[in-house]
Amino acid sequence: MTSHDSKKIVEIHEHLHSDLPSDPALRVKALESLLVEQGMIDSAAIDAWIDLYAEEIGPKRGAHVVAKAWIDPSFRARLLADGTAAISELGYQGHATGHVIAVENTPAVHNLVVCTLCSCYPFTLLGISPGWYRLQEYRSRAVRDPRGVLQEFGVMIGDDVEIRVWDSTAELRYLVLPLRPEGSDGLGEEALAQLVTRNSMIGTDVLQPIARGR
Amino acid sequence: MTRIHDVGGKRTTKPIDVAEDETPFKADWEGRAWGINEALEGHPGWTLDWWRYVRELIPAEDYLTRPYFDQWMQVYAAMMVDSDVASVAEIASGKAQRPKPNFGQPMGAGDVARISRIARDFRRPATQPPIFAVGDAVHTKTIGGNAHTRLPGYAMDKTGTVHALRGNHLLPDAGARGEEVAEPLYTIAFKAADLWPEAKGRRDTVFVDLWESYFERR
Repeated sequence: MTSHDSKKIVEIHEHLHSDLPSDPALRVKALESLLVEQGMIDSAAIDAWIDLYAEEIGPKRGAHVVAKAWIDPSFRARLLADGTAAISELGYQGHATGHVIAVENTPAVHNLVVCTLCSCYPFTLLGISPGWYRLQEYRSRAVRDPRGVLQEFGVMIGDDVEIRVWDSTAELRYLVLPLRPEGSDGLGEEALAQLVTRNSMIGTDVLQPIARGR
Repeated sequence: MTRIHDVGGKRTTKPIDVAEDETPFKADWEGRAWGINEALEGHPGWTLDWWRYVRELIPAEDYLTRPYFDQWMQVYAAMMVDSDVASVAEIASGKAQRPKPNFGQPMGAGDVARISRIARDFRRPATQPPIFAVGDAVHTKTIGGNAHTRLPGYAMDKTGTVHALRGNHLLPDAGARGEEVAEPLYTIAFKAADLWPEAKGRRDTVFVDLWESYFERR
């Protein structure tokens, strides 16, 4: 039975703190061995999940969604109306993407996504979250000083632009639809997707104009 | 108990590591930890909100210093001990001292591709319509103590406006107690200036997803 008892959990955490090896690699190895021995997990399934996130699932999925939205106005409209339905057209729905909300940058609005309470992230759309997204520095300051945070990322947002910060406190997961880079007219979906950075879909990057000519 | 996880608006001095690359796992053990998280179905009582609550209860010294995926593994370890699936000694040694529990067949490698495309829907049928409408002014409550809630401290006792209605979603506060209760979920817009004294005159907005019982009509 699960106790749902916070006092009991605090005591267990204290025991784990004193009795488990300090090295995370050793902790994970022991836990996996125990779970396998008890028939609760299959190591081959762990391998398959690692391969999936190393090869197939990652920011390139989000980049595909963004590029498609740039060139296909009806897809863009569907994405903004129901993010999960739109990404499901591409087979990208999954863990933590059951309620996707796309928020669109415009010349007047810049969007920034955070999770101040833990580190909620749209895994099957953007892959594994970056380390900074999970740490106190970003989580605490993004809601209070978004302009300062963006400056740290080298992004300057003018005072005439509204910054909209989305704190992922529920099971809704936000995807920033960045502004299409200047000079990208005529590029196809695949070439456009190459221009989309992971951070631009979290809101900590803006896409630079492309040099014309050549 | 200090709600160590509830960090929105706290002052920090360390810079953000903005140069990090896009490699998913920085060490082999991180990949193993992620795989365990995805492949472990485990005990029926281990809901998402119970999981989050168990992580929030990690003592501050560990919460602030131990690596992210290591903390995830600590959550599973604590849930296993709590549900009497394993002892601390068994988790430390990686050797079982009890018979196998009966949780059925574990997820196999061949199941992974299909399961990876399943998105969970956290909505439940509504028993009554939402009380608030887009544009309504609302004032958030203060939820004290260390019980699990998704109302962040910085958004307590603050005035905002209903930006969107999001459907009837499972209430995390109840989920962490093992109860299944759903309520209308809203996105509430707070002017930065209404949250932070130094933000006076700034045009920025902070949007927070909040359940109906977290606020009242202004």
